[in-house]
Amino acid sequence: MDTDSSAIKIDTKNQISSEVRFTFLLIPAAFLALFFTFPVFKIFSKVLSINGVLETLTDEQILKIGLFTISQALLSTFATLFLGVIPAIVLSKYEFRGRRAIGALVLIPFMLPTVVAASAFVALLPEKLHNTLAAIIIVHIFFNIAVVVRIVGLAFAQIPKGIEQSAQTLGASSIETFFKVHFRLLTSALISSAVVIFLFTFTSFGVIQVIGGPTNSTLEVEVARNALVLGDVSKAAAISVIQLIFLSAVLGMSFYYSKRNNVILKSEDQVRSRPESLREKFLVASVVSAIIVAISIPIIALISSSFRLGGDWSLFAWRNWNASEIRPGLSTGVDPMSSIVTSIQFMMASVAITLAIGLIASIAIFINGRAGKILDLGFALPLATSGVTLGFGILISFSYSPIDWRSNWWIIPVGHSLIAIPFVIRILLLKLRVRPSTWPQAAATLGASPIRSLWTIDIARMRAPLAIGAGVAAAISLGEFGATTLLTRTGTESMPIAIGNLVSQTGDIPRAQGFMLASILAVVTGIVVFSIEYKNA
Amino acid sequence: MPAEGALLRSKFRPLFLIVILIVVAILATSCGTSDQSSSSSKTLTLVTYDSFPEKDTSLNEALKSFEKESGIKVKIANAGDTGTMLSKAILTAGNPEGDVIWGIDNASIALAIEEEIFQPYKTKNFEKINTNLSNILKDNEATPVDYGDVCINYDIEYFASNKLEVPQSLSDLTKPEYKGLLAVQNPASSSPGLAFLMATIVEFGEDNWQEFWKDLKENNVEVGESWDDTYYQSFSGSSGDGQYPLVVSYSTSPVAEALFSEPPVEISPTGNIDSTCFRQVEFAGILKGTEKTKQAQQLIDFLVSEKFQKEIPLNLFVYPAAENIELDRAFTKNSRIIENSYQIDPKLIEENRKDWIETWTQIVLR
Amino acid sequence: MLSVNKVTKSFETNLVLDELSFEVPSGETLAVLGPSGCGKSTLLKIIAGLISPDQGKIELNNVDVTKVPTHKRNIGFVFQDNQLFPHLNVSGNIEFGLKMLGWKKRLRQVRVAELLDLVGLSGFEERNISELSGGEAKRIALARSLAPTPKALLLDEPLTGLDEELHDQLMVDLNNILNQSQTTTVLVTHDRSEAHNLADKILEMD
Repeated sequence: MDTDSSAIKIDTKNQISSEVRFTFLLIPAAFLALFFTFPVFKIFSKVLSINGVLETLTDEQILKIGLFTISQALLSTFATLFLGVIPAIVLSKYEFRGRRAIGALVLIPFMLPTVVAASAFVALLPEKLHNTLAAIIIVHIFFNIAVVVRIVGLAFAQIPKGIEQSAQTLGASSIETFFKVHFRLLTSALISSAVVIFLFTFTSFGVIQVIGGPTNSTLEVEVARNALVLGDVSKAAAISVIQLIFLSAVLGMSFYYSKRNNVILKSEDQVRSRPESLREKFLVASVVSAIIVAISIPIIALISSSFRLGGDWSLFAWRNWNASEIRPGLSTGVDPMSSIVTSIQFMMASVAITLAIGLIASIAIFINGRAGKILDLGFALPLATSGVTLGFGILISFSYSPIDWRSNWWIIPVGHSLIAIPFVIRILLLKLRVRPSTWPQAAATLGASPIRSLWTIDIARMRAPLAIGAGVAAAISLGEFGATTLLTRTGTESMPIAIGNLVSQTGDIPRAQGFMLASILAVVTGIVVFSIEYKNA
Repeated sequence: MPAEGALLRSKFRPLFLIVILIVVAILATSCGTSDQSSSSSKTLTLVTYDSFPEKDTSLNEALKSFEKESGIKVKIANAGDTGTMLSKAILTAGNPEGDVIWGIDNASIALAIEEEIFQPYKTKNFEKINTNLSNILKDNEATPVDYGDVCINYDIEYFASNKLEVPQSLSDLTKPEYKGLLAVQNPASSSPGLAFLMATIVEFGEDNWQEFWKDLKENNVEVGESWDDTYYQSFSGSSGDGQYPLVVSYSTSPVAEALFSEPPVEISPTGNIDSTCFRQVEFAGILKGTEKTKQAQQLIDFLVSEKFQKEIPLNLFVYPAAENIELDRAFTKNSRIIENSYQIDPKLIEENRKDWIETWTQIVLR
Repeated sequence: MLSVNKVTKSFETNLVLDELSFEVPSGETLAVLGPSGCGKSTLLKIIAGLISPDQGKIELNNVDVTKVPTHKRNIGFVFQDNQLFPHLNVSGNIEFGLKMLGWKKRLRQVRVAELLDLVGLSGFEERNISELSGGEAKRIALARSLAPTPKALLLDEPLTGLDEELHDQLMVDLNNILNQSQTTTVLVTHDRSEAHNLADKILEMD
């Protein structure tokens, strides 16, 4: 199993022909160019003006808001990382009853429609925390902790257990081992998570609006306000492009930095162990209970809102869950059942697209050097782009033949994929980069060309990361982030849209139904994620 | 070396699998969803806001009867909330997402007209519309379809049990006995918020409304981001647990409170302060660039006809634009048609809105 | 001196070690010989403190260390797959135990050089772990474990899996290193000739 001489290192990557390299690059690049770059370019060129941008840059108000946006995002990111690392490791390292359920539970907040979940939160927060920065940070942690748990957990699983033991034999206590060994090995994953969370919290919209209140505004809120309320799309675009440039720079820096820090781990999948010592059991127990409490409380608040009708407890919304008619002659105009079906259909399409493009893109990035990095960065850009910008871009770009697609149902899952693909790429790359360099040699001696060995050997090992990626993609699709909520729907309302519709009506009943649907959304997502990962993680 | 053909086959096997997955997903989905494109010449797309019912209400039934009579199918396109719907219409002016748009209100109608989203049309049923509404737009770029008022609602119980008099006018709101009792919305992000601001501008005039808001701020007015926030989180009269017995809402909210409680009640727990109202009028219009002008005109005619108008109150909780429409008891019992609500010419709104909001923000939020 | 006293360990219903006792005099090497799966690695881990025995005692130089946590025992351990820290280079790996003991940088550098010399890899300080061959990695792992002058050294199948040429060369080198360092050593293997070549005494397990 061990190679003997250090003299010859066959670099398989270099043996792959440039035609194959190019093809792998081309497919995802074309997808990205068509569905992201093209719409964004179109909307910017339509409404942006140099004057407008300059005006916005020198607007003192915007500057202040920009600073606030950065600081709340930084604080949220650090807080989430800080609180998420230990649960990430515990969930990755130990095996215990209910581990998978807890793992799925952590992911649920991530995909809840932010406005509805945030409303449930508001009911929970004590009065003096209303409309404060602290409240924003707390809710951001709630939503984003899944990112840390997933990404860092996955990286942690690749650290061989023996490393911990060898550190112990060299005199390092558990805490010293954590900081001097694990932490270093997790740097790349921590940076990845940090970047993603920073992007999410920077462009966070629903949370800022609902939790932050009128006195707290971020760039994203201003974009929406200008575009959707004040009718000033030009100013919105100016703010959006400044945001995009700033975040692209952040992304670029993080890519550069993490590449240098990338430690290649040569190992097999980690085997989980049961907690043995009292300390370990205590650690697991406290992490598990903390997660259950912290995540369940808002979800329970959400679910209990669906049982409230006019200040009283009532099963009404639930009894009428599959109909829009609530009383003869009185209807909410929304069919909850069909929205569930629609959401699931979108989800399946989106997961398929995400995995297909994500897989090809990951391989393309892996086998290509600089071009691969550019592709990687490109796919991360949708996370840095205001949903309003992209949504409107799609609206005006795909509005004439032969690409009159804006009202086609599949544009929506494509929109979901744009958000999900960068996650899948991160996850798959983690696995792709951990390959003992001898495998391709062995395959070569058996007659496999470099790309074929890459394909057959590496793809086989991809099952677990693909499953996790599918889980994330499913969650994102069900929750419908950003751009797609702006797309006009004709008869294809998904759950988040239906929820928005219900909650925006006057009356206790539609509102309770809205919360009921949101509860179902939480449960459906939990089940979907749980079952996808159950088979493979 | 393995043969090229074999290489190709096994190399792409996983890729094939994924492609098949996509195809299956597509097939599965297209079985369930309705045809998206309005390609048939007999189908009209009605673009509207998210609280417009998709199906099953009497409003939808009325549309169905239109379909039967005219042979024209009507598809409802949910374009988001009113602001989003408007922005999208502006962006796609000339190449619209639908044929007819429903729900642009008087605060935004001037902007919509300026951005040329409409194809003017004077409906056959023009005479049936209340003249106060139909003379707002001189050139019939769009047709008024309903109206309502944004007013202060109050929690009847609170005032009764605290033996407090309900405020009778806008200026009353700055009185010390109402300190910390009023919740309003941010006009920069909420349509009723803007409407209320405009009411105060009319009442106190261009030079004095700022003073009024300074006083309101002193009087601890609570500001929320959206109607939803304030009505359900802050207002004590709704199903939420709010502390504020006065809130900016709609004159018809008390009707909804009565109807949608379980079980429904005759008298609403909330009331309306008629002297604080700002008129909101909603318009429907033909979107410029549609290829089905004739059918669109037929639909507009239908939208202001009695058959459709009479279903509006109980479904959208606003008053019909057409005259002589009989109103349901729930309406007459718990709300009234406001005679003298505040109004501002749409063009003036468009010209000054940004400044008003900016000034308000300076005074109240900073 | 290392003393193992009536050590018993069961996993689930499997009795792996049954009141095992033996002594290794200071400076001597003991080989534990047995087929795969008979519990040899478990024994090593118990001696190191990575696993707790159900019953029995471990004594080092007459001190009972059974309840002492691993990181305080100062027992070196060379894992079968080396477990070198990938984020540190060669000298970073070797000096790890010294850092834990609080040694100053200058002294660490000297000691690292000493050990590299001992294992025949002088000058390797700045090398990247991923660039090492199998034999080099094994030597570095050895150097790392010996650096903090452990009271005992444990080797888990040190020569298993290496190809023949490397195996023989490394066996000779290992023998020399063990003799030179004079550390009380226990190694486990399933290879009889390995046991004979490297150890002073052999313990057979089944």
